[in-house]
Amino acid sequence: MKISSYFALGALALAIPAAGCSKVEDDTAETASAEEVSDGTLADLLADQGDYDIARSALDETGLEGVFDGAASYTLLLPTDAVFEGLGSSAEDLQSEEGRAALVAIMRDHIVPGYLAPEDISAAIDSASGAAVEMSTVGDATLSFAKDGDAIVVTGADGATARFAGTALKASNGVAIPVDGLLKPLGAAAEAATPAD
Amino acid sequence: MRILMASVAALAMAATPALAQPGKDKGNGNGGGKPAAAAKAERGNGGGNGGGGNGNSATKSDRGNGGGNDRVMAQSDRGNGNGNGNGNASVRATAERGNGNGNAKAAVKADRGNGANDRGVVRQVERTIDRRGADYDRRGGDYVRRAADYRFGDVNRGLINGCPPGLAKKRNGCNPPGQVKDDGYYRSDWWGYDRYFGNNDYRYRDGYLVRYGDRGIASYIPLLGGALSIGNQWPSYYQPYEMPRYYNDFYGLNDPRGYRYADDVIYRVDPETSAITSIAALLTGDNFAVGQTMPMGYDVYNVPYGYRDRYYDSPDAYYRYSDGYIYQVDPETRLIAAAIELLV
Repeated sequence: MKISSYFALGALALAIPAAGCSKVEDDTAETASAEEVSDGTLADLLADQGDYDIARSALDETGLEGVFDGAASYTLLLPTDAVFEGLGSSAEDLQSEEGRAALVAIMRDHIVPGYLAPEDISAAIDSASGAAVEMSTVGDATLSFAKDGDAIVVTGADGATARFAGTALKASNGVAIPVDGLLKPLGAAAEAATPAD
Repeated sequence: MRILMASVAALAMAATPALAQPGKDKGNGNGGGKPAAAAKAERGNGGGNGGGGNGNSATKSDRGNGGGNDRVMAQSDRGNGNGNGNGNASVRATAERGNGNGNAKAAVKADRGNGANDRGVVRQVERTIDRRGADYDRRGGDYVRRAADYRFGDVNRGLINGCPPGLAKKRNGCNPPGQVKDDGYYRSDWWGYDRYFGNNDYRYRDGYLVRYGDRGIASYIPLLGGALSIGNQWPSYYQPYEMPRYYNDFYGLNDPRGYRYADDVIYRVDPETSAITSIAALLTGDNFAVGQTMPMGYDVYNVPYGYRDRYYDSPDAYYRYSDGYIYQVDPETRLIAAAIELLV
């Protein structure tokens, strides 16, 4: 789902930021980064983590986890358990069978195509002279990344923001970057179970 | 990385119109077993004959047109066209800038009634194939496919008229709010569908977004995680759709009867029962086409890890990944120079 009108016209003038992975023969930083990358798939890596049980369970129950086990690369912005716990009963609604489609819609807005390491995002922002950079998702949103000091802040299409919160999990077929918030605000149903009209 | 002989693939794709449900296309006597298509020329100035009722390969016909902006449309709707009243599938093939080096664009449109409702569902498939897809440059030991852009954005996303079959079986399942307990509301703009359907009247209901008319649910959209969940039967109103051969390999779809597509998601299904078994891929649906400007939303280098030593950004070229392809982009113009297939 993609709507090009989401993008500011000003973006036309935005040159594609140089990537963080310019090939340099003796780039020790890249070598170090490579060593952190697991041989396994993102699905394997997620299965071993303890701080993301709720998101992992959401991916599992909705079947989305399966895409992280294949040849295609994805980057998952992974809400921590604390994010869901902070939602209270809304989180329970989302995890119910009835809330599953909404949960999928939320998670799709957290998934970016390709392999997107935090250092790639950081380099892109730097190349854009500090301006926000955008990445498409496999959901409805386009995510915007910007820096706040050393931290990277990501904003969803509906204005929901989150910060990178922890070490990224790098696998052979993708990356999971922990974030401290949901990038899609909950719909009215989760906030109030009363009909809208 | 496997080398793909995409010249063959591209031609095969161009020549393969819609995959209508095998066996359901009655055709119109061409005997080829392929979807029949009535043809009509639309804005055609180059002898736009989309197959003259044969419909085996509307795109193939286009190729013969050469020169000029031929736009050929072969279409079969219910009772429309050269006696092809089946209407399960229709094929629209469009060649743009059909000079042999230009783009060939094939679109597939299927129109099928929903039960007794003749208005039916309209689904569209668009594929954009660059004729230059037949050309390969050897770079760094790989063949770089210059073209091959497939856009699925509109496939199986259409509204379905009527009430979802599952809800219709329930008592009062199709009734409007007020007569039944509401399960909760997420408005359609939250789901992102209002932009496609131009209103905000859709409500979440039992795995669907539904729109209520005067007499209950008037139309609906099945949702991933809702009606389109693992274990559920693939709905008959969304017909099978043939993926590009490359996607079969890349996403591990294997059995051509073993997958379905809707709304930027590829599902695996049991070929026998059509039950959804897993989600094979989530796509952006972003439209990349060689020679055109790269879509917005790809500011960050995102090439898959295993390909980074080969496709890295330089002053001469940037590389971005989307939906199974790495695209080479001109840093100055942002024009897409090549589409690179990644095979496993």
